[in-house]
Amino acid sequence: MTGKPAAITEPDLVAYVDDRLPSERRADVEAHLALNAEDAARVAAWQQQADDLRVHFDRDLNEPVPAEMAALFAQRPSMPGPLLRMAAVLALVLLGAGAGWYGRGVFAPVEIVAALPQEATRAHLVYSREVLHPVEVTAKEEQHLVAWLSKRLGTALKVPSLSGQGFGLVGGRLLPASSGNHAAAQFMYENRQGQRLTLYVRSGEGGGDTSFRFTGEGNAVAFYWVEDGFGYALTGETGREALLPAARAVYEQLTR
Amino acid sequence: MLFRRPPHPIEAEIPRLRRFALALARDRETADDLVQDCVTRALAAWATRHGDDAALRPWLFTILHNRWRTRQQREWARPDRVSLEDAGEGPEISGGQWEALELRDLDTALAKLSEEQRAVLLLVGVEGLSYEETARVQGVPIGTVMSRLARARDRLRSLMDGEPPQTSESGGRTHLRRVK
Repeated sequence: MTGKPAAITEPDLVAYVDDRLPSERRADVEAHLALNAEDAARVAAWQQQADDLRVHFDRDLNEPVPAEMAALFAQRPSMPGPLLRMAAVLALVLLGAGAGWYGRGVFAPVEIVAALPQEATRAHLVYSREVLHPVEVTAKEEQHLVAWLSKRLGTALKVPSLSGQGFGLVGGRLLPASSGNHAAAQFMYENRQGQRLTLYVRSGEGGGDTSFRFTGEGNAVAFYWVEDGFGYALTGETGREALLPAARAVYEQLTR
Repeated sequence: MLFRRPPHPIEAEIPRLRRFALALARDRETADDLVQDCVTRALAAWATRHGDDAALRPWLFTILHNRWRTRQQREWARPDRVSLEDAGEGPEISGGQWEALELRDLDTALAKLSEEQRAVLLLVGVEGLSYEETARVQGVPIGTVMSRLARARDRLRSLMDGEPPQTSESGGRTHLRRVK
C-alpha cells in the first residue's frame, strides 16, 4: 500500500467487472472502490447484472435446434442408397513431404502396407504443389465430392475436420491405387500459412488391419493405418511432433 | 470403422448463434432466418476458413453480425417498415411469481437497449469473448467496445433500478413497470 495507483478509469471498472484486469491493476481498482462509494455501487450493480444476464441468456441455450437448420448439415443422399449404406469409412491425411523425401526407404514393416505411405506421399507431392488445380472438386461442393468419391471407392466416405489444427478443406480428387482396379481418394487441407495436408484413402488393402503407424524422416512424416481393407495416411512437412495432433484428430474421427 | 458422421463443428454453435441473433433481432422468426443465412454462408466458406477451434465462435458471430447489418440497411431503405428497435416494446407483465417477474423485467429492460448494447453485453458478459474479439464482431475499435459496455451497463442498471442507484434491498422489486 505504498504510492498512489494510476487514476482509475471507466474502462478499468468495466474490465474489473469482467475479471480481465491483471492482478496488480485489479488491486488498484479495489483500493479505489474502497474509497469511492459511488463507483463501488456502480460496480456492484454491474456485477449483479452480469450474473442476472448469464442466467437470463442461458435459458436460450436449451431450445431444440429447428429442423431446417439441422438439415443444413445432413448428408444428402445424392446417390442411390446401397453403396452409401455399406458404410465404411475411408480417410488418410498426407502432409506435405519435402521434395527430397519421396523415394527414401522409409516405409512400413508390412509389405502390403508399405506402398501406402509411399503412394500417399507421391500423390501429395504432385498435387499439393499445384496452384491452379490442386483438387478436382472443391470443398464448395463437398456433398458432391464426398458422394462421388464414396461411390468410386465403394464405401461411405467421411471427410474428417482438421479445423482444430487450423486446416480447412480445399477439396479432393480421385486417384488410381497401385493394386488391381482399386481407386484412391485424396482430400487436401490448407492452413493460413498455405501449408497443405492431404488425406489419402485407398481401397483394396489385402493384409490385415494395422495399428496407427508413423514413418518419415526429418520434417517429412506420415501417419497411416489399415482398417477393414482400406488404407489411410496422413503426411506432412511439419515433423512428427507437429503432425501428431492432426493425425490423431483424423484417426479419432475415423475410428471412433 | 465409423458409420456416422461426427457433428459439424458449426452445428454445435447453433444454439449460441440463435441466442445472439435473438439478442439482435428481438424476434424469433427474424433471428432464425438470420441464423439460417449465417450458417449457410459459413458452410460455403468453410473450406477457405483458416482458424483454430477457439476462433470458430467469433468467426460465426462476425458473419451473423454482418448479415444483420446488411438486413438493417435494407430495412432502413424501406420507409414503410417500422424498425424492430422502435417497435420493440416488451410484453405486458401479468403478475405471477417474483422470479418470473424479475426475468420479465430484465427482458423488458433489455428490449430498451440498443441492439449493439444488447450484443456487447451478451458477447462479453455471457459468451466470454475477449474485448478484441467483440470489437471484431461489431466492427468497431476496442475503445468503443469498452465505452459501449459501460453505457449498456449503466442504462440497464437505471432501467432495472428505476431512479439511479437506489439500492433499496428487496423493495426494489416494486417498480416493475418503469417507463423509459
